[in-house]
Amino acid sequence: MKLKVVEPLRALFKDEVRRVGKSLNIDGAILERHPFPGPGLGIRILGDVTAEKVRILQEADSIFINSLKSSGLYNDVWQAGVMLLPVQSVGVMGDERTYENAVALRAVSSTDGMTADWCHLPYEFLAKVSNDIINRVKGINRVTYDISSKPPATIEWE
Amino acid sequence: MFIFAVMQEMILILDFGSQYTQLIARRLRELNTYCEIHPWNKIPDITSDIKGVILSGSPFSTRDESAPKPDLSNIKGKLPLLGVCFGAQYMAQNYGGEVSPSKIREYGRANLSFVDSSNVLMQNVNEKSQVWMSHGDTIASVPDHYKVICSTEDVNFAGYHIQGEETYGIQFHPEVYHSTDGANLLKNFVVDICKCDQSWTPKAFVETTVAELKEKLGNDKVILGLSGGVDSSVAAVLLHKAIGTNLHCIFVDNGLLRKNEFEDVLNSYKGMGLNVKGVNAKDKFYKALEGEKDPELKRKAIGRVFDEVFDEESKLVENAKWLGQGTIYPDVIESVFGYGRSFRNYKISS
Repeated sequence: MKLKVVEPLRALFKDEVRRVGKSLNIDGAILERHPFPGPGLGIRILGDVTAEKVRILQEADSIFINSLKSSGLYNDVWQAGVMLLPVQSVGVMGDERTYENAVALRAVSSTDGMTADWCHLPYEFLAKVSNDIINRVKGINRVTYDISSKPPATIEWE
Repeated sequence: MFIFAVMQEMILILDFGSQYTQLIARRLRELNTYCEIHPWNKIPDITSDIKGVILSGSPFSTRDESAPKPDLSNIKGKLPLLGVCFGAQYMAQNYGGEVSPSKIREYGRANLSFVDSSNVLMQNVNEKSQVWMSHGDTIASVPDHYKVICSTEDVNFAGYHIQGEETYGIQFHPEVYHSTDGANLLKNFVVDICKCDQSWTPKAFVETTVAELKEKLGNDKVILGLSGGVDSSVAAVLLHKAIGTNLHCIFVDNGLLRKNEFEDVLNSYKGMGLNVKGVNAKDKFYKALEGEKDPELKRKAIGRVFDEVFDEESKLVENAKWLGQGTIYPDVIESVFGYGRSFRNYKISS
């Protein structure tokens, strides 16, 4: 199918796109949304992807993002997410030994995505997110925080 | 070619490859003034809508054999003209002055030691204010009718005004934030010298763009892929304002979105009145990804399945003529060095 291309934002810089969006009364939740990679959670699940892994990651990610929003930290962060690692480790929950997945939280500050630094989120905040994820998401028993800047690391893990 | 078919008041920025050229454009846009960046060797027709011209800096030295030699015959003396760094040096050297290697090279911070506060360009630019320099050459002499309007300790000709013309040269970079009064200088040029009316606002952009889209698209159908992100959403709303339900949006659930994102975003699009179809293609994506561990192959598989799903859905829209995209200006600006060759490969000397 041969289609001609029409690009109504060709004249605008990114911050101008947001200003135009605002004047069009577009929902702030869309305009202030963090950048999100095209392949989505597919590249935040390290290794092979299954529907079950997507479900686990969605739960953990939603706890992290909603906590950022409710703590008023969301707009100070350029991009945030959770990585589901292909690593299992031993834990103990109640009287039972567990052997479940580890995740890494990632939150970076940046102005253009070309360079980025990890966000110095408050310890109390990280402690609460870690606790919430481990208690509520079955399949995760360990939470880590990624403290690498870009460069040399990248924002995403894959 | 200009971006808008219907012309509007604008400043033309001629780019000589400086790392800061886009910053000049952004500072002007912040003054609600429309501007476009064009390569120095492809100067567009100078129409009456062009209120002034700015020459950018450059990684070249004006003394290089291969340095850009723009033809300013339709501009200089006819329109307000501001040369920044290389632009200032070019106009000094080319019209009877001299540019030579600096004894003391200036990179980074400097402070103005003299300001001609009677000059329009220098209003609210304070003596001693910090300016950002980035040059290895310096203007050693200028013709008699060039009047010095500012200096630093090391650079006498930090700024000049050619008498009898609205032509100015500035050695430092007013477009960077580190030049503390740089925004004032640009405002003086744009508002007081070029007489721009600062009417380029989001509202004006929406009006112009919607009118142009109506004219261009008529009764044609347009297909647009939504991602939930800022650019595709704003593009969709603009197109919707212009052509209503002739805009067919497609939002694909690849099974890799955030929790509840597909439903939430789809509902908010529908709430905006968009003609949007949500396509659940989760299983196709999961199947293509089955057992795949290689990051590059995973990305490719996701891209391939997306194209297939989008193609299939597009075919269901009969007689569609256009594909809408959320491309933004930084992707469009034509590089002086040609596409795909970054200025970062060059030594930045201005």
